[in-house]
Amino acid sequence: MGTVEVIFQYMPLLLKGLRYTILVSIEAIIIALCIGMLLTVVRMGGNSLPSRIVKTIANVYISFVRGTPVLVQIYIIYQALAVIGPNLSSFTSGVIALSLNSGGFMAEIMRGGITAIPKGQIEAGYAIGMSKRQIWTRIILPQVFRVVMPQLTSEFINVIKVSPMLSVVAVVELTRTAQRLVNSTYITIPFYITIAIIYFIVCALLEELVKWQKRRMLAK
Amino acid sequence: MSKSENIVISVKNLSKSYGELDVLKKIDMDIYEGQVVTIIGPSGSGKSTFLRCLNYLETLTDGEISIFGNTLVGPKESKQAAKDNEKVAKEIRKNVGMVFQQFNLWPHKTVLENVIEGPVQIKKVKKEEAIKKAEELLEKVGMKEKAGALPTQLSGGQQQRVAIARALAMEPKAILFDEPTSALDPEFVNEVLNVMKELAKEGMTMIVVTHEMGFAAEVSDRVCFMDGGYVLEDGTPDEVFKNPKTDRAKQFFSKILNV
Amino acid sequence: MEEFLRIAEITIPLLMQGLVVTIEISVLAIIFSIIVGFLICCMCLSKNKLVEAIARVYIKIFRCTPFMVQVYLAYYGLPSLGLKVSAFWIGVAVMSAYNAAYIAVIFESGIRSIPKGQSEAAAAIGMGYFKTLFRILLPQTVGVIIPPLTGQFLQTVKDTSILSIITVTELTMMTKKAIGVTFAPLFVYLLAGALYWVINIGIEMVTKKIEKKNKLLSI
Repeated sequence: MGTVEVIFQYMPLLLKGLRYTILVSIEAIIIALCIGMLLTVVRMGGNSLPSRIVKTIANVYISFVRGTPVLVQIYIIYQALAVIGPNLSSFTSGVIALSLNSGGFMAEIMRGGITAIPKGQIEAGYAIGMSKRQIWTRIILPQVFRVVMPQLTSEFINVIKVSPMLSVVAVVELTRTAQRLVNSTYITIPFYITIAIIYFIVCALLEELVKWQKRRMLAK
Repeated sequence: MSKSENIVISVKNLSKSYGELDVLKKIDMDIYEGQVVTIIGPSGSGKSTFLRCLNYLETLTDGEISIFGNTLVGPKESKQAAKDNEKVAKEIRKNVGMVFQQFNLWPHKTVLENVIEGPVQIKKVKKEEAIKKAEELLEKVGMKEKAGALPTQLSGGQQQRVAIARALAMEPKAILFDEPTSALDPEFVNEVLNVMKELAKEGMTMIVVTHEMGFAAEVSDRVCFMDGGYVLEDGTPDEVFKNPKTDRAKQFFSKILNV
Repeated sequence: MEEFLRIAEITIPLLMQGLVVTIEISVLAIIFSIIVGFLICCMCLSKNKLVEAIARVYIKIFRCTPFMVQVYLAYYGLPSLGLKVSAFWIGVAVMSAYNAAYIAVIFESGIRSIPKGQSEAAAAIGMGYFKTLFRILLPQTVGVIIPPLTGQFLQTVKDTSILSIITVTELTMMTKKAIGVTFAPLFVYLLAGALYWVINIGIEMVTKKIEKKNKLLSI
């Protein structure tokens, strides 16, 4: 049997792996969004002592997530989760690891989006007597999401590209599936090329989405 | 020089500094109900800062501002004073509208939504009422047919007219104009000035920072010339333009008229 | 506490060994990827459509596949192509190739951010392609590209950890080794994380200083 046939024979398995890759990434990005918003709210807080403390914690967290390799973060979280919640499935742990990582990046994206809103708009809000809360809910937040939409998609692409690292902690996503097949069929390079192509298709399509979002944003 | 004897805005001893830089130096000014005051002067003279102090977009370093009975005080480092000022500012902003150089319309809201935002969110007016009122105001500034448009689809002049409608929607007793025509292409300046003239005729109290000397001469009751953080001239347009007392003002006018 | 000291005593020398390799790989990869990235950037700016297309495909492939998969492919693929080199050099090669794709884009957008009038003015006084590039365009891009370039360097240092899967004895690999001896995974991983963190913050601080200097120059 030729290599190509073998690969096609195992295609359903690979696609199942892809499904887990995408599932893990979607769940992670949604939780990351929540973490990012929480961090953003915390970082915009006032100057009282408690909010300064929480702010510092948030900043240290973001700095750590951005300043250390994802792989190391994944190992750390797995070890920590093994202590805290030993019954978690490796899939769940994978989602937690990726979302804790991506959350730090989300916070930075949102901060960028907020600073992109011209100061004059906020002043116009104050000038008609809006409170801080109204400025946030009526002027800043509705616009932030529109501004950062392309970056959110980019971050989703990043999460997908990072997800193969979960293979080292036994999440059976696309890369782990390929590794298993490599081990059982002794065909190495063709399998890695195949998954590279699969990742490429997914990421390239999402990049087109980013481009479209950017164009639409500029058109407005 | 006043239309009424009622002082509605009273500025006493107002100073403002950014670190070492003194932008406003001990300014005193009383403004009467219905007065149209234009503030002119070279850039960097402090005129925009003065205007922004009036509704507390800038904090005061020293002095006092009373507007319709609400008084802001220079905090002199006290946190409590800063907090009190925030509260006072809220009251002041209910009575005083502001129109910005860069319009500052909210780009995610339509023209109509920009205008009703204040009445509905701040004054808790019913939405239908607010819309009715907003349509009248848009009619007045000649923007009714653009009610559904987004700000980015409008010319600068159109955006500024909407911004004026947005300010009027709060039913202010006075309006501050911060160089309302400076960001406009020349062909759009007049449509905005005309709306402002209309308001002046109706007796609105207006403080206008502007470079439009024609408007200052024709429409205002009173012209103030600022330079270096001081009010150097203060009088009727005739007094200030024809017989300026200070050399700085004379130089400034001769430069402008020679352009 | 004593226990921690004992673990640290075993761990730290191992981690330091790994750290040296991490830094070596990062520096080599950064140097090579700047060279390759610059060439690809030039190809992108080329008027020859074919040359440009090749560069675009290169960038697309490396940016749209996970780095980890690229590492596996290089590790198994390069030897079968007859390149018998150590895991270390395979690591350097794949990192450089991968980073070059990102750096090319940074260079390109930096150059494209300069108004067209600049190169037109250069052409008007008779400057050629390379003179224009080196004397007019690149000096102006410095301020624009330093922040994203810094980000890419930080990313490079972090990405070296992935080379642990192909037995390169860099910091993450040595961390695992230390765990094999001490049986204290969480503590040792945290220690390694702290090391990476320190390097990253260090690079960030240095480049911020450079950036400040450059800002002064460009104004």
